[in-house]
Amino acid sequence: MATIVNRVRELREAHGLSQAALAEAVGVTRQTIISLERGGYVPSLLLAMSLAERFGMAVEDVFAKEEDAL
Amino acid sequence: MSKVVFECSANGALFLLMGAAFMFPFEVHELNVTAHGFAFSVSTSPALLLFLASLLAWVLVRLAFIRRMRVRASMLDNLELAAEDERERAISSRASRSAYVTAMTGLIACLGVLAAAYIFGLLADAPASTMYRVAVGCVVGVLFVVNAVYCARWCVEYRR
Repeated sequence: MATIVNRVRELREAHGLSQAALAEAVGVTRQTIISLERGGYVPSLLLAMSLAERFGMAVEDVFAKEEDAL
Repeated sequence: MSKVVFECSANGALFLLMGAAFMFPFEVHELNVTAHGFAFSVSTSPALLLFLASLLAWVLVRLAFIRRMRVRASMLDNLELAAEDERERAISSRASRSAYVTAMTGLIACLGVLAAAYIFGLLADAPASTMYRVAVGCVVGVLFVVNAVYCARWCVEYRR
């Protein structure tokens, strides 16, 4: 089964953003950013695009599909 | 998460109070008003009055909670369904699914209990009000469990 992995934590830290600041910038709660960074939540396309836009990158540079060994 | 725990706890308490009020009226006070071609009566009991007082107190406490926690919801919204973002909407959806399955299972089980009691005459020798109490108890039990399941699923999903 495929899953989505992301580089949100790495990019957020590289941009010097707190979880709360990033959450406010993309219009979600801090808990959603925490869950995203843990890999526990797969965002909607709209949120994925908003995050990528905030980091000035393409969506595929922030999110990637990963095949599990199932 | 606090809004869901708050709303579900309050709902659970109200369900139990409502059940107690209708199952165990203790002493009933009746007020009868009759006039020319008009009759009006009000029946109440200490448990029912306690339930109504709790309901009024809950409205005030809820209003204070919404203002204090700055929840994006009005007084008319269900706080347990009010979502701050897309993740909370998804969590509410999953919790609602669990609650729905529990509600259907519980109601079918309750119908089974009532049907068995009727068919096998389990309450044949009991006072007429016993069947009413069993039915009210079933409804209150299902509401309480459904509420608890929704709250538990919501909190577990939120913590992930």
